[in-house]
Amino acid sequence: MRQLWPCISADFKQRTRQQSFAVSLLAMVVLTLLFFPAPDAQYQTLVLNGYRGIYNSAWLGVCLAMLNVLFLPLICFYLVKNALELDRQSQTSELIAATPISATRFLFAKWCVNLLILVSVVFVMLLSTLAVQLYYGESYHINVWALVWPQLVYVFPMMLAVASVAIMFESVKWLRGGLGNIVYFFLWIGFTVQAIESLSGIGALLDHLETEVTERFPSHQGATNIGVTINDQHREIKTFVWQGIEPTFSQLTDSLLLYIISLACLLLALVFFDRFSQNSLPSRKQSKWFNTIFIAKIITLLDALFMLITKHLSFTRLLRLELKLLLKGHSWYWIIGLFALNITQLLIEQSLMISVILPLSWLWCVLVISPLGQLEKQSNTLELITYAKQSSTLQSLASFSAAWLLLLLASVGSLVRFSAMNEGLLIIQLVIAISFTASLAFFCGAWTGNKRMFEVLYPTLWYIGPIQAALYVDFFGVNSAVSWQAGVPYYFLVISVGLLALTVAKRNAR
Amino acid sequence: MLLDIQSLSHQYKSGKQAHTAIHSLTMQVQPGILALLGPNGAGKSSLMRILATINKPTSGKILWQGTDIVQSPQILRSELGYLPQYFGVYDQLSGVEFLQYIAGLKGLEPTRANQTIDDLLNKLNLSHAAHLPLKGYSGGMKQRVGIAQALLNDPKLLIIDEPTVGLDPQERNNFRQLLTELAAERCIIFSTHIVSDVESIADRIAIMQSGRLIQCDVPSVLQEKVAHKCWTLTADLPELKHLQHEFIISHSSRHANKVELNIVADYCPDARAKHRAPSLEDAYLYFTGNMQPQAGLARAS
Repeated sequence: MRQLWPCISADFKQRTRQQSFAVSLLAMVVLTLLFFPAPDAQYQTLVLNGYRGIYNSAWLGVCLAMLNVLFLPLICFYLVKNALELDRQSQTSELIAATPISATRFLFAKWCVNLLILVSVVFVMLLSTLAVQLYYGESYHINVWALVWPQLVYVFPMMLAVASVAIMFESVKWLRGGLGNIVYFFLWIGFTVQAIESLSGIGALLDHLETEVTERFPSHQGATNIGVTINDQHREIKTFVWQGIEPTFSQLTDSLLLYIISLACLLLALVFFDRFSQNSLPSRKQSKWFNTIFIAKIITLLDALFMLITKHLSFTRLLRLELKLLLKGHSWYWIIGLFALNITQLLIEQSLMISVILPLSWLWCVLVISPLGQLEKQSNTLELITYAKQSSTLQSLASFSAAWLLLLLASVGSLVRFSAMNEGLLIIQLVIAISFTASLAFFCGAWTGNKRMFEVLYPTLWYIGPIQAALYVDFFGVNSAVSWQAGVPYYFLVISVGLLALTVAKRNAR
Repeated sequence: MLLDIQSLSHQYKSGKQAHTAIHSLTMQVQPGILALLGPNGAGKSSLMRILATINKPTSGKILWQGTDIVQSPQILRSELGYLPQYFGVYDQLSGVEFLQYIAGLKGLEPTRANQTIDDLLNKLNLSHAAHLPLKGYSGGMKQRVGIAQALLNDPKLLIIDEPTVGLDPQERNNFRQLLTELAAERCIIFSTHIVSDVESIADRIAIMQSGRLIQCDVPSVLQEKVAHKCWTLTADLPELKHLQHEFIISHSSRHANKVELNIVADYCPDARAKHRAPSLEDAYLYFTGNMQPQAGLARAS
């Protein structure tokens, strides 16, 4: 405890005293308030057979637990996945590595702080829920136990797991960075969304609620929806009084798997945690031929060629350097992947190319363009660049154009096909989608000062938009005709220009 | 109390290239101050990081009071104080909170830790800022917090890498005095490339160059080794370029159209040259310049 407590206390203070933590808490409060709409609102979040419970403590407690079980693993994972990164970035890792604290204790302390942060978030959401109950006034009887127990039974095991998974991701070298952010997102989509209900036991509770509603209102045939549902007919939702249920032992044991996952991830983290050391060179022979021929010769040749094309204008010279900065340090496998995706775009059936391969090519670029807008801050060259550059706007536009060009390179196959088929509208959609992606990356980097926001936000939009074809989020417009009819490409064009303008203004102001 | 370094080698990877930072280094460290001198890139920080149990060497042994700390780093960590060349702090915490955190990591009992923190903050002239957030500290104040954290556990082995960077002359002087006080009962390894920082306080000086230990002795012996190689010469300004190219110049001062030079050379550089007493800087430049003449000359000029 002598080592644990100061470690927990300092880490908790450092992480919660940052502005980003306050912003995250505020965002969770807003999310909570939005999750409980008014009866005549244009959307509903939990409707069972056309009914929802009145906003009393029992109903709100259970609904909040559902919200947390579904979205806390996604949102809060990224909130707490900075426990070890913080030490690495602030360079306190050097000091910590030389102290006698064991890796087990250190990681356990970090895990405790992750958990404390998650508990703080849920606590603030609980307070917001209390405010919701008093605001709508459908029931003024506050039952604290009814509000709290669903969080203890369903959400707490999820928090344990998220705290552990985050530590594990930070301990495994290849999951530590942006790749880990994307891997986790797909893990959440592909596995967690389906499994959470059964893992956390919340699915059984939903079944119970639905059965109760059907039994109480047998003549009524309404829809059951969980998640955001648009109320097209603007009909006021019917309500009923739900008195709640008491937790049972079986509900507790339903979450057993989450406890096991939590422990397993913590143990895995221990195995992979390097205790901030950099081991000396592994005795792995490098391919001399690959290095000298591919890396040295080809890069030099391409760079020389590009320099010839760009040397006449200061903007194009800057563009070449910005592009080089973005590409520097990335593996050749990435370029081979980009090439393969372009070939696939040329050969595959058009509908599949539009709905899967083209969006996938942009996703392939996420980790390369995510440093956009914050590269200077991260590499500590901000002051050098600020005093050296001739025009801040020119440099910002060159950065943006570098990312734009890179995304265009990822879409060359599609562009060739669209041109060959004289698909002018699709070409415009492609240009807008690329502009939106580049401006979003630039905006997120410049305004947050880190890569994470783009690495999380873009795959989310990418999944809901082009992949799931949600009309107003689909920045490409997979269903071209519908998209143009609804004016979506225009919206995204305006958003892109707006984001770019805001970013340039922000960078000029520094 | 003894640190015994045996045939230590270390390779690291920078990009796609493999570099050898330390070549088969053997050395013994006794209580007192051992100054580690060497130009940038000599391997000082790599050696420091290995001694501080952060990096593992590629080969070789490091024995601390007979125990191999490469195999059992925990043995040393409880008796170690380390100040790296580059380090950070939790900028949202106050100086006291940060030191309490490091004390906790070092396993110190809280009451004793608080007492030590108060003493160190006093000694390092940080008491006035003790409860202010670290983000408001100047570079020199952060450096002193770094020094304080290294001393928290009253270490038997103190490893400090370029500790005087960012300190003003008064703070540097105070720090040298503090080191002299501490040296009586512990091993201190102090790395720098500023010879004047260690001239008056080091018991022994180790000079490193290109990952190799090229000299390790007491300062007077190092000076003695170059005693007959130190010359002073007053030359005309146009001659300066030629002399700089030919010899290691440890000091130059200009008087009207003349320049007075302190030269380190194996032979008399000019008929006008006279012998003079050697300094530690002469010894350092001579040994590092002999390994890489151009590097030595460049620094001197």
